[in-house]
Amino acid sequence: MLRLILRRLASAVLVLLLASIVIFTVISVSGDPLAELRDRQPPVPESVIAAEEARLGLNDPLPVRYLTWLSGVVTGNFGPSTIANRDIGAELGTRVGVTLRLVLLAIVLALVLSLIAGTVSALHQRRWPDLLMTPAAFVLLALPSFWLAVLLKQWGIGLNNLTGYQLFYTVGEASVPRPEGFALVADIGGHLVLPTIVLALVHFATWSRYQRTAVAEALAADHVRFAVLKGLTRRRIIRSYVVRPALIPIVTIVALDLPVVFSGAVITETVFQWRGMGGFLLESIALRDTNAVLAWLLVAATAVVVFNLLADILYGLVDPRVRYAKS
Amino acid sequence: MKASRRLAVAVALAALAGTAGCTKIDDSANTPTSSSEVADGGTLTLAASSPITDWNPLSAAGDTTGQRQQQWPFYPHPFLTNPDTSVVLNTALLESAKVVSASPMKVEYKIHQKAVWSDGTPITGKDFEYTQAVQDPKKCAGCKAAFTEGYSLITSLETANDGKTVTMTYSKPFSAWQALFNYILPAHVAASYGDLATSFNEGFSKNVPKFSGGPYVIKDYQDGVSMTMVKNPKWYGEPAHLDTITTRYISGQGAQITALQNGEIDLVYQNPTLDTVNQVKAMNGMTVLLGSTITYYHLGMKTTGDVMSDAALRKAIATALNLDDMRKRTVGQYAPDLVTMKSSAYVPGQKVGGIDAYRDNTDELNIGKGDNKAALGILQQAGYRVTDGKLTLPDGKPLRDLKMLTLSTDVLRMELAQIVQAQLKQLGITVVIDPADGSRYSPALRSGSFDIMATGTALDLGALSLQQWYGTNAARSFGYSSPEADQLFAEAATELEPAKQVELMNRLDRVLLADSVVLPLFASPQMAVYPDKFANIFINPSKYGTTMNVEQWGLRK
Repeated sequence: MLRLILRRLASAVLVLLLASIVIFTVISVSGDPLAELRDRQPPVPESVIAAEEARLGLNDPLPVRYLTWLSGVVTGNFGPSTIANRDIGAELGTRVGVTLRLVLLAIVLALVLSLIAGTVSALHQRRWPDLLMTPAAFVLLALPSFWLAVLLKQWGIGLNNLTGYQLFYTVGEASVPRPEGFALVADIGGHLVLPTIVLALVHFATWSRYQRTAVAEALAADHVRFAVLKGLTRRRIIRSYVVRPALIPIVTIVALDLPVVFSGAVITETVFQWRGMGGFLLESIALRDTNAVLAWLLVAATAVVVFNLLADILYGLVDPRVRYAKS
Repeated sequence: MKASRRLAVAVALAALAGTAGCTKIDDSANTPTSSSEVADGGTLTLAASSPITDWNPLSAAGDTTGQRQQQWPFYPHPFLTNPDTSVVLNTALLESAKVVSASPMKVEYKIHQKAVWSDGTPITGKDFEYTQAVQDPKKCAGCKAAFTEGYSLITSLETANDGKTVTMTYSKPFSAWQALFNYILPAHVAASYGDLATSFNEGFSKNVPKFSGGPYVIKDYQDGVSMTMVKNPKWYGEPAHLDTITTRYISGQGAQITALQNGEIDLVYQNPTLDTVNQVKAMNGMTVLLGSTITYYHLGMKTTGDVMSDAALRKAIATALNLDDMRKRTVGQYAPDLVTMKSSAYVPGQKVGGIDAYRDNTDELNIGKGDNKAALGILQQAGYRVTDGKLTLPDGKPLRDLKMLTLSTDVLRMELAQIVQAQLKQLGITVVIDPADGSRYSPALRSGSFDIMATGTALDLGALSLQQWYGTNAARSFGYSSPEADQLFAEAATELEPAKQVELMNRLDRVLLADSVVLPLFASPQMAVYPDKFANIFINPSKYGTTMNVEQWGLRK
């Protein structure tokens, strides 16, 4: 297992390096980071523009700029941003935390719901729980997340108006100024509910379908038929011979999907104005802030690598055959 | 601020309703109230699209629309812009500011004795001196200032009367002198940061201001989330009413309106669209103000190149286009009171030194009326012919397709381009729309890679505002050059007498219109929406925005 992890890590470094070269080149040639400054009315003095070009290293050839960036990253310096006062590394640290808070809760919720819904649906195939949950999952799959987010916002506002209480919020992670005591918990909860539901529902739809298929396949397996013939109780068969083997694919899929959830938060964060990784990426692209986009990429790519590794490890833990085969 | 200023604001707003296009969506809600009708206390949360990335409003990075508006409440300003576009003395800060000598030009500012920074340090000539030095490349070559015009003309700056009287001598007259020193930086704070360049580029740019020379001071700033201001205890003007004003950073107009609908914020101030106007109209208990600014939309035509260098073709296009139709079919749908501009030098209702500056210059030149018959006459006289619905050049070759450059993400400009396309088809001219994204639009504009374009210009600097586009070798001239226009630019930029300046600017406007280099459309619309319980929030036509009278905002009594 250790050898597998090391091999994966080595290839990941190579992938990250190649990805950074491609992204750096694409972003660098896609536009002028000083375009906004050059377009000002009245015009900004030429000396200021020249100073900014020098600060951002725009006068250097692309390979030199890339190598400068790369050598900086090794020492923890992500390079200068288009916004002179922006510390890319420090800002990323804060934003990752915000995104993780949103994503982790959504993942837990989506996973629990999809395990229950997928299992119930498979155990009651073509009966009312299945007939209810299958179309619901497909509707959720078809819904664009930004549309769902806007819809939920309006429902939230409608509920607030109906009850006369501020139960749901549409902006940010907490109110300004932050309330104190229990009110703060309620406030954070009110801000968290809608974006978490959006993010969770989108992934619930996919994962519940996988779980349904896995349980349905397990139900038709020989070992389950054998367990029935042995006279084991239905509860025991489902728990030990159906649900547990059915966890293998879903655990792998969830682990592989985590980076997707992470990037899917871009839309949710934008709609609900959370200052997370999504906003960081969009702002950086708008500013043509090459170094900031590269830093985001580095974090996102690292997440992909880590979660892939996690998937391998979890797969081994859930399925003993993998463990034994590897040992 | 004094009662006279309150009255001026109220009167000016009423005037604006009839001139610059302030629409009353709900008459009862929009009736302007004077500041005597608001109570002391309360909080207000307003939305801003983007956070402050540079805390120096005079630096190149800090001088952006959003940052200027957010930072207005904690700096002293010599002049204010009223809702009717008139520029008035800020009587809270200054006793007077006037040109005391024309040759050489000398301007004298008399600062009130009571004017102090929030730490009690008097606001004096030293602050003017520092603010001038950091924007004069001769004194601070390393300072990254956004604007140096005018400041570099100041040859001496003398202070007297305990530093409360400042006299500046200019090397040559500068008519836009009132636009200078729009934010005065504290010299004593600068001294704590280091030398000129260090204090300007780093000290003021990187540090959240703990000082204030305005009605409010920053209490708390959460990066990218919010900025909270409280009353400045040492504020020397008319007492502010609201205890706390919080700015929430919400990107996206739709998200701001949803937050307003949900009671998370109290004020949105943004460029309206048909969708957003309809959305806010549907909300109950909201005051909706629609007004205009001194930034205006216009079409521009290239005056060089194979076909656009022909003045007859440009004039025919200018004559055939129906500018009023363009307004009605775009902004007219949600701001019907916004009028079509007939001048590229002034917006409707604009006053300079108390004089009505706006003239119907396009009418005088028969431009922009959709007069196809006259346009065809101009073309035929120049040797053009329309054959099978296609315009042919005097040499018999068909006119190539004209390229209209526009910003693909700007719905308004895209709509304007489509209307231009449809209108010019009647002259046999095919217009191809080039919808460039942000990264391509600006370089294409700068390199003159277009025949027609649509853009906006802020008129806050008078002749300088136009010179950046139409002066010979100016930053954005894209080839236009006219000795007559250059002469008028020079004269208008140095003319200190308002009446003469207005006359020169209108002559200049007629030259530019006659050369068909510019076709004015309409002033940029602006919208303010807030709950009825608040009062004294107005649309300010200047680039400094609605926070200009922040001390007057309050809860309606």
